[in-house]
Amino acid sequence: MSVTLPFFLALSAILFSIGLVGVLLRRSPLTILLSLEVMLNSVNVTLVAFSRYVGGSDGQVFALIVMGIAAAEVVVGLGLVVAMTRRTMVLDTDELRTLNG
Amino acid sequence: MTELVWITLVLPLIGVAVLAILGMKLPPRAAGWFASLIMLAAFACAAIATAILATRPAEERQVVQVAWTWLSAGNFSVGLDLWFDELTAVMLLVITGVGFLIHVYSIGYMKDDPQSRRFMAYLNLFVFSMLVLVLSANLVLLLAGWGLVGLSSYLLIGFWHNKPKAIKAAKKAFIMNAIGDVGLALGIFLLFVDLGTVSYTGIFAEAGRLSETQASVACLLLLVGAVAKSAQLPLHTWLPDAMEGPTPISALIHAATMVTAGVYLIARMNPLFIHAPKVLDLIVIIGVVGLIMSGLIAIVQTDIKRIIAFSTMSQIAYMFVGVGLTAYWAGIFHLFTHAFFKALLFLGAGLVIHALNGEQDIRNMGGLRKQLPKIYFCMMIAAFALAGIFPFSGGFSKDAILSAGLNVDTTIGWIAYIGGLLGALLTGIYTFRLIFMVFHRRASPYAERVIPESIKHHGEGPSTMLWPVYILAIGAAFAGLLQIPGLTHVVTSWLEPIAPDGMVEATVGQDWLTTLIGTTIGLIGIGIAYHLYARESTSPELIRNGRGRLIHRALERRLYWDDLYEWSFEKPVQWASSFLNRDVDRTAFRWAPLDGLGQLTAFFGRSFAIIENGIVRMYALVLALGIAGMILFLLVRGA
Repeated sequence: MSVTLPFFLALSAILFSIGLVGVLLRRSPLTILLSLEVMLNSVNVTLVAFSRYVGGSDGQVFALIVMGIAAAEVVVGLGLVVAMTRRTMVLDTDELRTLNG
Repeated sequence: MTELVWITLVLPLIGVAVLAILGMKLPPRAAGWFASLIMLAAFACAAIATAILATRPAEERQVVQVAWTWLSAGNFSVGLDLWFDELTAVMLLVITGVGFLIHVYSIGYMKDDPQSRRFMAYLNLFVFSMLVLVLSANLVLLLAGWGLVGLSSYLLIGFWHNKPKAIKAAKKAFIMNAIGDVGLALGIFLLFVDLGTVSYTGIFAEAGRLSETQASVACLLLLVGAVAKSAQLPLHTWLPDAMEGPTPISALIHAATMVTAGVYLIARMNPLFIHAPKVLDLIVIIGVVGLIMSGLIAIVQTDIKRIIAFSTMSQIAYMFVGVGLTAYWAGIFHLFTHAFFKALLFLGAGLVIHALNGEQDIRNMGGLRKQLPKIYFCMMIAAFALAGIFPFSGGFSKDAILSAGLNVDTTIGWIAYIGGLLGALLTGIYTFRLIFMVFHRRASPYAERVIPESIKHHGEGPSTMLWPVYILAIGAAFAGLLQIPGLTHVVTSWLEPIAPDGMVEATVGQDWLTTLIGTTIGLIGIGIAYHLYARESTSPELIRNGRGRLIHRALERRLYWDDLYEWSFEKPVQWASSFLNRDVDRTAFRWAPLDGLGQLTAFFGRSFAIIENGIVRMYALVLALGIAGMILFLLVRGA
């Protein structure tokens, strides 16, 4: 049995759900960032899988761009985490709610 | 050759970039010299380019270089195009040459200012802007340069930003210039609508297609820009206030270069203006009224820099008369000599102010010729040139403008001639009032107290300040020899090709007659000034309290132009806003139905604010559920 498109999509869906649950349930910004990475990469799996399925290379290029942007996003996110630690703030997203309406 | 022109243009920009990035790491003196050397290099490039241009035959001296298309939409396209011809060459030499000297002078002048590096960066920025203005080959790029010089002028007038008066003056200059920018922009729009092009080549070729009305309206709008930038009636009130800036700025921007941009614009666009003879007449009238008015005001001012500022206004008015009479060469010639003697006068005044520890009131000076002999000598040259006395530069150029009026021989020509001669009398009086009050008379108590100390401390001034003055003095004395009626004709033959429709050129006889009359009248003016101000017996107080008291008061208030603007624009806006604040906002909007509307909005705002609870996980959940809902909807609907 060869690995066909539905397998990839199923893997992607599972990864995405794991990531989403992580983002929704965890409260540490670090873990949230980790989960976000999982979500982004699940999308990458889809992109590459479809790219193979269709036979073009557009999807792979998109996957590379997503990786680049994810890296940039992590830089900002980790920068925030470091800044928060420096200012001795609690690393808990539920506690950080000064932006409420 | 075009490469050299490009280098000239780019050098000051490099200067700005380097000073902006490395500024604080360089020692102030090094920054000053760096900026100055940049200017020297730019001057060298401009001079070589001009020399190459001069070797070409007259028909090939107009060089247009299209670098790249900057923006294009439909049949409208604007390129970053350079235009280099005889007129541009003159402007380039003045801007970079006088610019270099003033940069060097600034090293000494701003020595004790902790922010001298910022000053130098602004100076380079100004030179770059001015070069863009004169080098552009289309009106849009010219407008860009026009705006940039306005900006750098604003930055430099307000350079001492902890001085409220300087900030106010900077704002005033900017706003007055903005009026001119709007006029210029509208003129450009109109020309594009009428002719479909904004490049000089296009406009000059097509100008004949315009009806007289079309041409007049377009020229009138361009004139608004020229009048504002050149501080002519009725948009002149910013120039005297601009003297709050450092003195080198007054010399470079508000005497030698930027304020002459209006004259440049009219001379440049002469193939267009020739189709609007009424506007040309208007230019002459503005010039004549302006030169007499500012001459009169200059006689009663007491601030040394303000006197020179009004004199600048009056000299630019002469240039307007020149270009208005279509004697473009004479206007530009006066621009050229004026750059020397007026910059010299300002720099000399700067040295005097420097020696007196910042005192600017001429009543607190006097008797300085013994203590400051070198400055006195240079200032005398500048004063003779300004008063238009025969062998000095200003005499030749001013008389060239006036004799053009004689040559035209129309009503307008005679108005220009008589008005100009009257102006020459006033020029003699106010210039030598300044000289006599500052350098002759008995020294005022203040000067007596301060001068010996400051001479002991740094002589007449640091050499970086004195040398530029000497060089300018040579120019102010001899620049006129380029165009001796009947003998040399460098200026006319050089500038001949810029006006395809010809220029007014007086005959040799008319020239010498005007020189004779002009010099005589100038000397009479000097005599009057001597009689009134040089001796102890007649103090200015006597005139102030004499029969002419009311006139004196009116002139002191600068003929109420500032008050006019204050009462017609500033005050109404203040009244209107205080009315809206007190009577509308605080009472009418407290009226229940109107107030209820506000309350309702606030209520909705508060209701929805509950959702924004600040918990990131909640936002993520809502987002996820929303997207899930959307996908579900699409699936169910079977799209």
